[in-house]
Amino acid sequence: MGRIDPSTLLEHFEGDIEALSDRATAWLDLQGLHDAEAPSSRVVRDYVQRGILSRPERRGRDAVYETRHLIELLAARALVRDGWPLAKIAEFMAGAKPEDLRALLAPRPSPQSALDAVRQIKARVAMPKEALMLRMTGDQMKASALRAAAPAHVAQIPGGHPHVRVERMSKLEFADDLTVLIGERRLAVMTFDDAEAIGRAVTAALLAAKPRGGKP
Amino acid sequence: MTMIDLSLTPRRAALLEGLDTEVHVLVSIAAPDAPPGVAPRTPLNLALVLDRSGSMAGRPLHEAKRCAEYMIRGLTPADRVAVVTFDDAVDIVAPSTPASAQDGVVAAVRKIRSGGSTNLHGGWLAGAESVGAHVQPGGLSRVILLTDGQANHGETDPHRIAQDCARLAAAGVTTSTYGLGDGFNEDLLQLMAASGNGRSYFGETAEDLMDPFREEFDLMRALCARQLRLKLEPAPGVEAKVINLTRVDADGRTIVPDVAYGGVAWALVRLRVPASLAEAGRADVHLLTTTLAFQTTAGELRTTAPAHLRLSRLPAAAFAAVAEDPVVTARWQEARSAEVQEQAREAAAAGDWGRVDALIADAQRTAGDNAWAQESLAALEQIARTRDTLRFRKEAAYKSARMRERLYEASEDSAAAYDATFEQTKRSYLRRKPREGKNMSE
Repeated sequence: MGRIDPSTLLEHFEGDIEALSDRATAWLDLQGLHDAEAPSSRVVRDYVQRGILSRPERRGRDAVYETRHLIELLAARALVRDGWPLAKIAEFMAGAKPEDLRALLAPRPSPQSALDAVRQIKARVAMPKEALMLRMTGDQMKASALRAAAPAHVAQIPGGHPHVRVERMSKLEFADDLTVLIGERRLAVMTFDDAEAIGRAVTAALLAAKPRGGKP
Repeated sequence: MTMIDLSLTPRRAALLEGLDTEVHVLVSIAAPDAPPGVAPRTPLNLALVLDRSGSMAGRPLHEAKRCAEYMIRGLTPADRVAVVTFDDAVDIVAPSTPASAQDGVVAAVRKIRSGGSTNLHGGWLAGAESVGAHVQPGGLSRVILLTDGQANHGETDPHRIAQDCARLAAAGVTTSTYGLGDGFNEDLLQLMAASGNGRSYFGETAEDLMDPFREEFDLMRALCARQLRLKLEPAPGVEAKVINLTRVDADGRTIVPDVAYGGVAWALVRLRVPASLAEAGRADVHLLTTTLAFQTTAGELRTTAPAHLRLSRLPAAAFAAVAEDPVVTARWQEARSAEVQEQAREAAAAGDWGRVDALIADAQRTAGDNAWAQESLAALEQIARTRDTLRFRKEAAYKSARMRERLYEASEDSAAAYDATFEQTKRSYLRRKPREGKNMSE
């Protein structure tokens, strides 16, 4: 399970002004960034007025905000934290490309990302020895060629990862509509602190994913 | 609010009317002299990774341990340190520990004994793992690897090792390397540090290691901004190329070395401006816009306001009368000398000493009135006379890297006579050494 990746909150967004404000707040929380002023719907309206945010799309009487509005809002808040005046931000936004705005939201390093990288490097260093031990029959060669081409095929799946990871999982069923999957290796080395940290991450993720309108 | 000062200075502040013009522009990234008030100090999270293979037996291992002890003793309770050794096996001598327990770590270092062959990658990876578990957004996490040999056990492919360093750097763990003596692979160690967003140093003998250790320690303590990424946006029709720095990130931005208090980081950009932009009758011509993204010591991402370069066009006689900026000229001399030294290094590797001598003479002409560059080239010429290929390759490799990437002091006067005694009054990371592999205090 592990820590929720904040970048997933920056994809495929569509919603009203409240949903935009909520999604931006959730992203800031996950990054551990504490703004002097929360990106409330009042702030969003003000930024649209000032030309910092593009105007939302009108669908009948509703104003619909999309991913680009979310990125614009978070990038503007990053510049505010840097001490930019709002007039300068509006000027910057007018000429900025989408990649400039995303660059302002680059992920911060964490133990999770560093240790993931170490694990992947260890796996690669260990791999050639196993590969050398294979004695290949015709079918094995075909299978091997397909395995080698797997990353390219996976990359063609929308949202596909560059590498496929295979991991044995344990399934914990708490209720009919509540299941947790966890890697067996992680479960084997789980400490009390790890379990607590996962609990907190689950709570944060659930609150972020929860649709608006329900009671807290 | 933004504490980094980004500015653009052309070598000559004009365009030649009606002709294609090549313009050298210095992008200087200046840190303030000292932090404002009581700035939070960047917590350090280090792994010292020491080669204890057979060739390190005796004086080298003794000095390596002394340098490690120097660094550990300099840490404050907010810092962490791990110690790893490697020969054919990897040994975690001290797992990552708060530096308040430094006595225990020093005691563990003193017990290190020399052993077998060199699993450099395995040692580095164990260091990265020790540090990785304690990465914090505002901290500086770094693996400091010292070796006198070649990677000949475990992963040995330099490009794979460098890719791994880059991968860890992206995840917040940087890598610095120290080569000792003549037998290490300088290409590998420089590549690891460049990919790992750290620094690379070398010492000719064990006694020469303390200088670079001290320099890096002071630098880490005085860092003002990290992860500097420079974006160049030339005007339509203008070509821009950075000539002293070669690494770019996934977004095409130039990677600039970290900057510390009192220092100026820089990029020298060559612009090719077509005649069509410098036609008579046009007002000042906009040539280049730059912005710099960086991370503060508190781990916040910042972007500077854009800096613009506009130049006016002048007829030939008036153009020739415009004086050159001495700082831009000095950086150009250093960047060009660095390029020639790299060619000399390749010639030495091929055993072509005639070409080496000719290239050094060429670099000396290029260096002009730059006193430090001349002193450095004289030292290199002395090594060339001994025809000692290994030593020459190492000095040329590290000297050219220094000339391309060093932080300079804003008040530095490159044309003034070079004085090694005066250099020692500067902060260690702003000193100009005549010989990269030697202690200055000799």
